[in-house]
Amino acid sequence: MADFTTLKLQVNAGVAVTDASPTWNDFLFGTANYEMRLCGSGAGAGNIASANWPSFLRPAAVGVIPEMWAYLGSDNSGGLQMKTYDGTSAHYMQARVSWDALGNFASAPILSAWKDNTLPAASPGTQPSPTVGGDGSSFVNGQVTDTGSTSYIKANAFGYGVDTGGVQQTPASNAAGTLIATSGTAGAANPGTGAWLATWQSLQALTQYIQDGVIPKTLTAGFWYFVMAYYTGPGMTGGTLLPVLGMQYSWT
Amino acid sequence: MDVIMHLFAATQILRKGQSYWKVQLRSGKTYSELDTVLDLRQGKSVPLDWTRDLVGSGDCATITHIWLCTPQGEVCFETPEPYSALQFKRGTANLWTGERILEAQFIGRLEDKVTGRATFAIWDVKRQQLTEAWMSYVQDMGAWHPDEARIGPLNLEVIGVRL
Repeated sequence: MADFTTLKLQVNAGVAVTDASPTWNDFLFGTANYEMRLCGSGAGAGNIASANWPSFLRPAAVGVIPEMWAYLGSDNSGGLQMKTYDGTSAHYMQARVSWDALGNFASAPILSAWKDNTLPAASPGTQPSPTVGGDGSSFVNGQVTDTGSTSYIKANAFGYGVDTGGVQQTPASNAAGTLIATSGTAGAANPGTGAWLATWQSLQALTQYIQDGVIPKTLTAGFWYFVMAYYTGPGMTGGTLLPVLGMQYSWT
Repeated sequence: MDVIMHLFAATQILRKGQSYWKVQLRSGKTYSELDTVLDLRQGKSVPLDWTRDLVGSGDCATITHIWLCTPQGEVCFETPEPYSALQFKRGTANLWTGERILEAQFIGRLEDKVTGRATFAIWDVKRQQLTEAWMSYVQDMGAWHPDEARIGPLNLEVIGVRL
């Protein structure tokens, strides 16, 4: 009963997926060519090498990046569109964290985004120098005019995932709620039981994050469903931006 | 695990900048995170597990000393009160790659069963820093560093503490 053997991300992606009819795809540990890629509307496809992925031009006004694709093991084939991602709040089956029944949570888990896998603290509002080029902090740090120094990455999570009684909580309706470029509050946003957050949270390392409202029941497999919206704007330093999406948790 | 293998395993852990726990029971017997036990169901040796083997067996009630063994030395808490010793780790799973990033290990001693106040020793893997005595509460644990999040309530059932 130490750490989980399996704790992974699954995304709803495929030719005909919908919120009502999802197809869940695993992001595998330590396997090359697993990527999530953002692009403009209609710009993506399932057979584009990562190096040739279309750039998304920084817009004149802050707005969402409307399309997301999942590449699952191949650099230039088999890519699947996440059709329930469009940067709006009108969806509920987009992504979920999946864990097995072999581990235990010693405290309530946290969902957030970091600059890279060294998990540094965010520096709200601070963009990388344009002469150096952007990185994951371009998204995570946000910018004062574009986002009120909240992260450009917004998310909403549903309920407790698995409650203290071991009951799985699964969404059946859109996340809805308030979603704008400046959405985000300091510290933790905690979804209530069987509910989405009323206001989407900014994922900004441990400055702004989503935390489960309870500690999911021990030795119980489950899912914690969440949806995302990635913004960009004139204040963002561009480049190849690779923020880390992570779940922070405790175990014995 | 014999002495030589234990020393080897300890050296490997510490060289990686990580830490491990060790306990002594009232019987005098000592256990550590580096030990293995025979799992009869699987028919093989598996790592000793805090929750399964110490909490599940009830041995956590008889822990008299708990150590956090780190690259910067050891911290020891005497825990004469039953169900007052605790241990857990904290880390982040990179959801894009599946990588598990270990960030810290905690040992603790429950000081007050009414308020849940406890003393913690922390090995911060990310910063390679040892904190020898930090006070917080098991029912609403704070942030051990200004750049960290409040941990919140601990799962007393799995860490083996009783209020």
